[in-house]
Amino acid sequence: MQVSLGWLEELLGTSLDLGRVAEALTLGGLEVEHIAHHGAHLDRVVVARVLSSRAHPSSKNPLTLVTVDLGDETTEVVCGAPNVPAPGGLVCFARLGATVFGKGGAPMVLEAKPIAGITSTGMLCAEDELGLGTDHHGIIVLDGDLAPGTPLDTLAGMRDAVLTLNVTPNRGDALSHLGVARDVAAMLGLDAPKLAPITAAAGGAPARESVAVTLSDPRCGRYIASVVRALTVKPSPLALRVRLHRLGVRPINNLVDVTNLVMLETGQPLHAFDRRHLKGDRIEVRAARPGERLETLDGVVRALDPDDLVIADGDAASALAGIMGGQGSGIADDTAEVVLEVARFDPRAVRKTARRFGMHTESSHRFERGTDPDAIAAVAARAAAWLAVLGGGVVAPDPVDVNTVNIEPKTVSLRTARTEALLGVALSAETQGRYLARLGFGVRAEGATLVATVPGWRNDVTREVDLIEEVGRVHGFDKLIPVLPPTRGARAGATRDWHLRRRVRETLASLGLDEAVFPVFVTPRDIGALGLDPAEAPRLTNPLSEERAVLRSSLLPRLVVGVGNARRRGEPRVRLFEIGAVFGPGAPGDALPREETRLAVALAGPRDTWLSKPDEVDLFDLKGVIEELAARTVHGEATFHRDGEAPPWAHPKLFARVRLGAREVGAMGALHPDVVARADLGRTAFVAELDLAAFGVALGAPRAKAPPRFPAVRRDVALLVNRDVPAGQIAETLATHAGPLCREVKLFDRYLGRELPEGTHSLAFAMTFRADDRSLEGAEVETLSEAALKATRAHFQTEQR
Amino acid sequence: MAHDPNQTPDPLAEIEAALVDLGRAFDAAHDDNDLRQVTARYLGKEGTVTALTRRIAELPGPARKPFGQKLNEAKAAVERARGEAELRLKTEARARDLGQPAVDITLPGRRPARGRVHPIMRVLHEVIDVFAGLGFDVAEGPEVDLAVNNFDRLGFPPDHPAMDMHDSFFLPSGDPGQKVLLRTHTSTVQVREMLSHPPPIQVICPGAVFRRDDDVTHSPMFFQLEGLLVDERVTLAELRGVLDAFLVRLFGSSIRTRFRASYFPFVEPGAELDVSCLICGGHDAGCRVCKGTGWLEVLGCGMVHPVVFEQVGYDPERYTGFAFGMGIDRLAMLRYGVTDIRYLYDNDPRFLASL
Repeated sequence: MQVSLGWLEELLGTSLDLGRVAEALTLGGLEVEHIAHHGAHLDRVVVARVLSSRAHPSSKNPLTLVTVDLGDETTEVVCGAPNVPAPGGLVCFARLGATVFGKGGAPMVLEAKPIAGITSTGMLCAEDELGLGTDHHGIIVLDGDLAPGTPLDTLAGMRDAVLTLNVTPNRGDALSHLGVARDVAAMLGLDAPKLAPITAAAGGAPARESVAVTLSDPRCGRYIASVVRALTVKPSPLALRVRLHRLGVRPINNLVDVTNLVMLETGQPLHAFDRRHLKGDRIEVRAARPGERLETLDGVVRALDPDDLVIADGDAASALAGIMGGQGSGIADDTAEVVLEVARFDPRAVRKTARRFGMHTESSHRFERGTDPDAIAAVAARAAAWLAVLGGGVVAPDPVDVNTVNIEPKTVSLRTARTEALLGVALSAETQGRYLARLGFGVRAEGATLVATVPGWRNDVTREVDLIEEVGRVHGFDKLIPVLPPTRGARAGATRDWHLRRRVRETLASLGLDEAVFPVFVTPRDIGALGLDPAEAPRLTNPLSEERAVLRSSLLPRLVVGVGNARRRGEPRVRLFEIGAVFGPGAPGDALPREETRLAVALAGPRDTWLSKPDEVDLFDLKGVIEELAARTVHGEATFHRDGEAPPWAHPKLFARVRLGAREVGAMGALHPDVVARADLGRTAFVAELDLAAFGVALGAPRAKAPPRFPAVRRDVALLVNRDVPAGQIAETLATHAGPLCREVKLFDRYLGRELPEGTHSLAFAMTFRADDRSLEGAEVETLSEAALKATRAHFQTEQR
Repeated sequence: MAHDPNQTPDPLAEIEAALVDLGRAFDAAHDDNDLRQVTARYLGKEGTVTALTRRIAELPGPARKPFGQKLNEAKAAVERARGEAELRLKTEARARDLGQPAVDITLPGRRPARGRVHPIMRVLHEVIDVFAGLGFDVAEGPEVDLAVNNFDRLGFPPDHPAMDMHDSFFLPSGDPGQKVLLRTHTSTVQVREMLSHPPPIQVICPGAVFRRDDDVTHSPMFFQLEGLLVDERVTLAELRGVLDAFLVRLFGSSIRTRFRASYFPFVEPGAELDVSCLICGGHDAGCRVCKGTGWLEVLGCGMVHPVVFEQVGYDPERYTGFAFGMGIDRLAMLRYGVTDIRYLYDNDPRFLASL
């Protein structure tokens, strides 16, 4: 909503300080988003009286040389406009150095420049050249009795500030200057705003002679048709045109401009019909007929249905009620008799139709938010009078007023003690009553209760708490003294795995991985690229695009795309993880899809090394991350196995399933070559996807161990082993057969030398022995490790090296 | 040195002879290993002094005592020489150490690989820590929820312009009686929280939310954190107290705040809390972040609407409460100077690595 400070001043009958007004509005809930200052640049533009004019003696273009009186001097100026007035006419003369606007609207400083051989000391200006409008048909011709030499910025309405307000959807009343002025008055303690009366000629046949009105649909509860006759269509006076222009409305002609001015003033949308186009001299407000069509003013032919409310004449629909008029029934250049509509339409009906057609007009915007039912008659009378004044016409007596739904004034009670209970500030009943009265509420005290009659423009106030808000607004929320409430110590009831997710996130970051947060929307193609079934992913009924049509059923598709993007951007090193929800079909009968939290990891590219051989990450970097994650977050041990089939995205030889305790938590592996090809990755990446809920179940705390009192003895053994024997099994066999004094068996080296027999490698294990009650003897350790080696020889044909 | 029974040398002289080279031997030692070897030449198993020790038994009784004394002196002399040599070596080593050329400190350090929590999550953690300190617990709920939790139970008027700000993504529902959507705010969690137990309630609800907007300043998915405190006698002044405390702890005590009326369907009164511009402090009319207003909108808030209490079965006469909400993306952008919201969801490693 754009608001003119000058207009507010007219309504409030006082001059206003812009800063105070803006602050009061913002703090009171009508946030000022922007302030534009207008007219200051007009200080070097003056009123000039035409003394004489003659055609340019030599130019081929139709140029005129105009002699003008500037008050203190007389000058001759070249002018290209076709409308130079006769001597005595008043025009606008921009002196050299004045700011004027070029064709594209760009400001420039006026300089002396010869036109057709003649250099003027200024320029006679059109509206657009002074930034006062878009009209460029001719120079501005001023009305009234103005002294030549008067700077234009001192004329009424030329200097102004326009405030852009962010009006929240509950405040339909603030979509007008009157409504905004009411808030300003209440906040600053000024007298309530008043509309200056307009007196116009009235007479002739009563309005019903020109038009009959029928309301056939309850969605229109009241309709007033005023009639104004003997009008002349012409441009509105400059000050009004400038005002409309600055408020973002294009001036059209005096009749159309009045409907817009009254709407901006009172918030009530109006529509003007040319009486000649109302077939049968009648108006019917009704539901559209099946198959009915209407070409609206924007030139679009709309197929209507019975949900749409239309204004029809005897023949057909001529306007979409409360949204937009129809082509051909509105004001034309030769319109002489106007039927002016001021009505009340159901906000939801207007909204429904406007949304279906994707239309959003000044009118629909206001009707959707509710108009003041009490103001209708006054607005109709005012608009008719204004039309008559600007169009030189006569208002027909007795406007047609059809009222099918009476709206009784609402009263709402306020127990004044509730105000303190809710706001935390003590305000007397008297103060609260005064605040409400300032906003236009009728207030009656009944003991400690105030009974407030809600003014028609405040349809958002329906219950006690709404009155408390009004009291608070006038008092000023910003004046509340902040108080810290006592802590309740209440635990949340609706909980998930927040703390675990945070721990996992911070752990993985500490392990050198960057966290990614991708949107949950994915394209089915990316799911398919991983060999997963896109049909498992819930599909949105109204996606933004097919690229974002489904909710992810796995974190991997988007993460793999991320790996590809990184590579294409020349960043081969990828260390990414993501924690987020994935979705799947819900259980039968459940309204909601299945939703679970997962963790995905992707590693690719070079290992982080310095001064050592560059190398690529492999599956064991990923395994190490998962092992470390389990150890650090849930103090559990992740184990890896190859039972069952590989996930569709995994290389069948380079994958493992992951367990935490006895629970399956997911899988990890190198990407399958087909996935690498489909996702256009070039080289493989190592990825894992784990179910975080399972991590939550495994969550444990570490158990403290007292430091051992006796030293440990370490025995290193190197074994020549066939490569198809899993190293883990050898370690396990060593540990089992070395007995309980063997505390740890750890693989610390693997050697693949040419001199070793075909298909073998050498594995070096460190065995740690320790007793709790004594120092171990060398011989004892010897015996135990010999037993263990013997067992591995027997089981796996290992040879000691 | 083996004993020759045919000779009758002066045993004391033999000891002296054994030590003749003592000083030179230790002077020639250049490191700890040399020291050990030289010491062993005298005192080791095969050492000359050790060999002489064995001679005591052969000596006549009266000669033993002076011989023994002399031997002990010899041993002490060896130890002393060794000690002196050791000291000399240490001094030399120290001088060498301190005399070496200065290190090239421009060589890169061996840094452990660094990973980063996503900027949105980092800010979220900070925010949660502050509210945890103020007594709030974390509540969470699903990202896909029933429309009734997202709108109806929050008192959203159907077919009202207030819905314009909540353009939703819908999903097919498994229950024909229930509309299903991606939540447009985490107020759904507030509803679930209130349905789960009676007051008091003091929670914050962080999470991803979704609206059908996509342009330079809007991502269809973004992150919010909302808060809710419900009990007897909760006031708007307390709401401001909590939010002021939060902002001061997050941004420091130099900020100012501004509390102004606003509108959200599920609160009444509704308000917004602005913070003085974190970039210009309100001193730059040309500031691009606050657009010269000096203020940044960071929090929407208000007193829980009685309609909401009626919907979840709380007595609005007995209980009052406040709710607030903030965009975490925006805080992250302010915190880290992120100029385009799309960077946050593109996850380019080069962007992530810059933070």
